[in-house]
Amino acid sequence: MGEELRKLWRTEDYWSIWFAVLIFLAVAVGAVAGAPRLQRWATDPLLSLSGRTEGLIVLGLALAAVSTVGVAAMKERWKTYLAGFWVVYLLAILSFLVAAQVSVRAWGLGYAIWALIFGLLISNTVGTPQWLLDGARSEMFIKTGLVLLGGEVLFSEILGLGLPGLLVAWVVTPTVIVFMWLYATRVLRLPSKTLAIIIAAATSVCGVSAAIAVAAACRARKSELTLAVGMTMIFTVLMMIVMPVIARLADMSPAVAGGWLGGTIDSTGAVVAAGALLGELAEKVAAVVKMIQNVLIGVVAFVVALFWVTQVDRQPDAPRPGLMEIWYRFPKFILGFVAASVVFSFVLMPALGEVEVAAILETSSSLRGWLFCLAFVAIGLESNFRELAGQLVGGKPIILYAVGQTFNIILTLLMAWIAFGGLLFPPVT
Amino acid sequence: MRTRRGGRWLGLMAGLLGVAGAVGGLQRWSDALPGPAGDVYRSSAARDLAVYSYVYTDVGDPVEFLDRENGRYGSVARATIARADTVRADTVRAAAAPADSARAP
Repeated sequence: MGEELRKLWRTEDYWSIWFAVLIFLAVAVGAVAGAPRLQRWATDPLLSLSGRTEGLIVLGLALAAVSTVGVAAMKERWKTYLAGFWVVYLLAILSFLVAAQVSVRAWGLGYAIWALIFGLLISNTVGTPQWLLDGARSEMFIKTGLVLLGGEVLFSEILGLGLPGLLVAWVVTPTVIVFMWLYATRVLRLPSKTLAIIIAAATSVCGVSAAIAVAAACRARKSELTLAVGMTMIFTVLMMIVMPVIARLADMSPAVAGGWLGGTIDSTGAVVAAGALLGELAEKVAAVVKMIQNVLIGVVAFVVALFWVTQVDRQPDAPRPGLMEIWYRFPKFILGFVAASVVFSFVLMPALGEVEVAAILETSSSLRGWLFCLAFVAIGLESNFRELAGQLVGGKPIILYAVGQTFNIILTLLMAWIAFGGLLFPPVT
Repeated sequence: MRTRRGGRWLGLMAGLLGVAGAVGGLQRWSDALPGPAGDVYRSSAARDLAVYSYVYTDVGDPVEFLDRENGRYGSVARATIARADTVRADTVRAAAAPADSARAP
């Protein structure tokens, strides 16, 4: 019991929860009024920083101060962490700056891919020195960001989104995950089960966020997350171009096409852009289906963490783990994620009202973006191309993605036709 | 030894230049892109800039924008726009205040 209590201030899992609680509280009482967002730019990147420098310095100081306290409490090298943190933070600013370019944004190439590229560039050329590695605490940034993400997953919001959307998102998502898991483990015999579940989650839920959540839940290797995120982003660009063309050629009704796009394309921005090409109704349905699907991140991460603790990590001849054993091994930040979602959905939303809660979430969501960006820079700094190439093992991850996504596309089309085509519910107009 | 280290730094510089070139190339190439890919690009860029200009600048009427968007964005976006509106109203009030006090007897 004493050991478990000591973990409360000695482990990253718990610290991620404390950091997130602190951020939520600071935002709620007005101590933090917002997080800097870089401005859009087309040809002059310096425009992006105009009027934002002060905010960026304050954000860096605040993140450095709070996280260094945690690192020191965990009895780790806080001085080198602090030195390394600033380089990671500068690379995160650079990643957001590239991602704020109008064409880059229009193609859906978000900060995650640039953060990985900058990190990988350094680690594979000049190499990442130890002091910089000390500052690259990807796990800490990811877990804190995930607990913040939990607050954004509002169950109460789903109620207003309608049954057809629920049917498409909630039938297809678990089916595709199970299909891809079985295909990866029984047919492809992919050596890494963690890689299989990350690719399955990224394909079926919502791309990068789902990949991060599930990778943390099953304690996957960094290179596996890098590979899954890279593949997802490339295929997302292809799908946002090709799928509206197919919908138009097949003369799909706007509502069916919207449901199809929303249920299959991985990033919310790409979903809206692709839907917009097919008209206002298609765009609205696509965005709604995507929103409903996003709510599943927490559920999927929780189930994967439980499945890993009770099934995958268990020796074949070992007895079924007891409740205490499950508790010890369960990643605690997932509980923080679920708790944040429940508190925001069922406590804060009725107590404070939608506008007040959304104002808190607006800032916490920006800060979550910064934490994820720091995490991706850190992952890049910790990875190398040889390790990444090793993950490709005969192209099996790409085959898994391609087969899983094809299944996803066909099943979602069927469900979109049933839900939005007027078969089960009145047609959406 | 020194040559190898110099080569690594050159590699890093080449990588960074590659990123800059890729962004510049993407901008030039996307603008001139024909067919459905060009349509996707232009629609995506226009929408992104429209939302951005409503949320983060003083262009447009947020209420009209929300009505037109018809619930397409989640509560976070809705509150962002509502807050932008409040800030705008405060700015207008603050700008009007000195004039009002000047008019007072």
